[in-house]
Amino acid sequence: MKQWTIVDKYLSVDYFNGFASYLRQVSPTYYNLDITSDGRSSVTTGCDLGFSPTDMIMGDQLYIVGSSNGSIYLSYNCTSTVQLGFGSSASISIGKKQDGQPQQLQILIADGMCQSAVFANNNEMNKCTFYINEEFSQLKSVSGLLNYLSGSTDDFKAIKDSKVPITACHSKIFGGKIANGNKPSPIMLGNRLLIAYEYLPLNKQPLITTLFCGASNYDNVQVGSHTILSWFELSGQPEQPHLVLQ
Amino acid sequence: MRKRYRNFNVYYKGVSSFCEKGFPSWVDKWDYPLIFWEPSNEQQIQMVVKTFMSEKCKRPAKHNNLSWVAIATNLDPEMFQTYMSSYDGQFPNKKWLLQNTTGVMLSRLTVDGKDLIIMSSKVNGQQLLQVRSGAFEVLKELTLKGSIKTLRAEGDTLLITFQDETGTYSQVYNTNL
Repeated sequence: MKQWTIVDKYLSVDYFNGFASYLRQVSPTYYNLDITSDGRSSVTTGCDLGFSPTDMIMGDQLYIVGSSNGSIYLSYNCTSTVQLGFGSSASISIGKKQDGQPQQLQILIADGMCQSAVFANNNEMNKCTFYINEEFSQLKSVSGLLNYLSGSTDDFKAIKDSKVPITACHSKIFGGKIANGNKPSPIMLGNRLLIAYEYLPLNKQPLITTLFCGASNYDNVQVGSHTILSWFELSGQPEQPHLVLQ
Repeated sequence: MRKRYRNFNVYYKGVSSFCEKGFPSWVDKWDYPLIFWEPSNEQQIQMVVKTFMSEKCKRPAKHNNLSWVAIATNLDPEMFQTYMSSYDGQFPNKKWLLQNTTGVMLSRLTVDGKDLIIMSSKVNGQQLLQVRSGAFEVLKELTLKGSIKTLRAEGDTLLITFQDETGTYSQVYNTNL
């Protein structure tokens, strides 16, 4: 076991190929990326993000996610930044490398978009651009609502318009609401996505989260702090019983 | 002449007698799941699945696995997944409720080509680090001093960043922890 002492003010950490990466803030919009293999010496590169990073991961390149003014952003290698959606923070996981295949990225967003809601569903407006309608502005970032985005690294790098958020209408990247809760932590195992998130009792969620966007209630868990762990099958033939809603 | 559709759609308790006597042969001609309607709680839902998947059940040749079973219910799908989390058969979409647990962080560790789950959490104020199998069984559990701030694994190596009264520091572990 090796032990390193590092600076206090880092914002995100990743570990890849024996190298640990630390992102540190040096000015309101500028960060340093320190990469070390021994905890003593490091190589530092500048990272001009324009948003506050909340998580990062190394794949074919460095992917950093974070937020600014209620929007969620993704940066590739500290150089190119695109808007992903709306919310307060984001976390990221990456699938394992497979021969000839781009890796899969999974991004979880806290306080995210509510794209399927009472009233928002029942009219003729364009659901893909609901966020530009003033009357639905409160559905852009909803307290306690968790969004997911799932696609290959190529799909994310192919995002053309860096200022248009990704909705459930995107042709390549899957996205939507995954649950109500806080502090999501995702990992991928094979084709399965495992997410841990803090459970939010129904009485702790605002009405806009529950009444408009839908919520679940667990019996006998109104006291204390709980975590929910969820498996999701991302592809392949499902082996579970189908659920038919009446 | 209009094509007539029909489906296998019975009250959930019917699974017992169909498993005992056998399902109608015509269901094998249909590419639809067998529907059992309105099991309304954990016990009833598990009864349907366990009865159908038991070795004693005379399942139809074509509809012989979980993917051919449908539950018709007004229950929230999230509760359905939670109720099925204790089912030990192959059932990928599961949900667990971990009581009195906060600050859960997950990471993937690969040992001898097999993926393991590393999970850090605070349970009743104690900082735990668990190694879990792909089926989510606890293989190893450590109680750690300090508070885990970040958890990252790559291959068979784990990088944990702690924060305690002495400051912030990282520790690199191999698979033996």
